Amino acid sequence: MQQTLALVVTTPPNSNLTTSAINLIRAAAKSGVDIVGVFFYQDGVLNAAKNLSIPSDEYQTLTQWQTLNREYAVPLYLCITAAEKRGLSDGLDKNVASSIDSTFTVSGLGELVELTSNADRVVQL
Amino acid sequence: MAMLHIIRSSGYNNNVLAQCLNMLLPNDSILLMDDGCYNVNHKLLLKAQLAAPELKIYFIEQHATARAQKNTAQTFSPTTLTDVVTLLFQHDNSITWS
Amino acid sequence: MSEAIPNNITDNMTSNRTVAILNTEAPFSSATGKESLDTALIFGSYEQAISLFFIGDGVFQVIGDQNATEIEIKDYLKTFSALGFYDIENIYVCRESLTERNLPENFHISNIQVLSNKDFSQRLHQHNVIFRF
Repeated sequence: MQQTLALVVTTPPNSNLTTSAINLIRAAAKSGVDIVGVFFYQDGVLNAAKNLSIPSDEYQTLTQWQTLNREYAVPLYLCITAAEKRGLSDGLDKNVASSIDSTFTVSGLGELVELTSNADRVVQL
Repeated sequence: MAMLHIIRSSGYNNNVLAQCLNMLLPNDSILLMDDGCYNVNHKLLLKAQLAAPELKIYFIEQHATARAQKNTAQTFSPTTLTDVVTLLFQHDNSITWS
Repeated sequence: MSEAIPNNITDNMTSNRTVAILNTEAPFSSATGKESLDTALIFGSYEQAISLFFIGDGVFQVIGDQNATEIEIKDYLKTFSALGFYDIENIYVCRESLTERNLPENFHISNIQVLSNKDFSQRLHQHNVIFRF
C-alpha cells in the first residue's frame, strides 16, 4: 500500500522556508508518496492570498502551490480563522470580495485532526 | 520511537539547537535544512556526535552549498529532499525546530 | 531506527494515534501560544489522544499570577481551564526549563506534571505526531 503523508505549513509565501516546503512536497509526490493534504496554519495561511504581487523575476510561491495541486492533486487546506486574523476573507460576507485563491479549500482546524488521523506521517514545516 | 529532528534555524542566533539536543535520545537522527545548515560546524552538534558516534546528522547539501557552508569535519551526511522523504518514513515521528 | 510499519498494522494504528503539542514560546508577544491552545482544544473536542508539553520559554505560558488584560490581551490563558473538559490531562513541564528561569512550581492550571529533561523527552518520543509551537 502507498505511504501517506500530511504536512502543516506555517511559513509565509515570502519566506524561502516555504520554497523548501514546496520542494519537499514535490519530492515526496514524485517518489510515489500519497500527499493526503497540506494544512496552512499560522502565517502559512498567507500563501492563499490571491492578491499578493511578487515581482515577476522572483519566486512565484502561489504559482508553485497551484502547480502542485494541479500536477499531483495535492489538496491545500486553509485554516479560515487564522486567515481572517491576517486580513484574508473567504467572500461569504457579500460586501467583501474573496481574497483567497480558489486552489485552496477553506476549512478549519478540524481538517488538521482529519489529516493527522489519515496519514502515516505528519510533518510540520 | 526513533525521532527525526528537523532543524531549520541557526544555533548561533537562538537556543533551538540546544533545546533539540536536550531532547535527543538514542536512535534519533538530526536533519539540517534551510538556515539549519549554518550549524554544519556548530560546536554543540560536533560535541553531540562525539558523545554518540552512532548519531546520524544529515544536511541538505543544496541548502548548505547555497549558503557557502561546508561540514569541515566531514562526519555529517549530505542529502537531498528526495532522500528526506525516505528518512521521514524510516523514523517513527519528527519534530521541526524552526 | 525502525522500518516503516506494515500497512495492516498502520491501518489499525491511525485511529488511536497520539498527538503531542510542544510549546516553546512565551505567551504574549506572538499569537503562537493562543494558536497552539486552539489546536489542542480542537484535537480534544474530536476525542483524540493529545498531550501538552512546555519547554524553554514555553513554561512562561503556565506560570501563575499572570495578568494579560493589563497589557490589553484577551486572557486566553484562562482557556487552559477548558483542557480538563476535553479530557486533556497529560500536561508536562520541563524541570530544567523552570530551574534555568528561576521559576517556582506555581502554575495557573492543575494537573501539571514536572518532569526531568530525560523523562520529558522520553514521554515526548512516545507520540506519533508532534506539533511544535
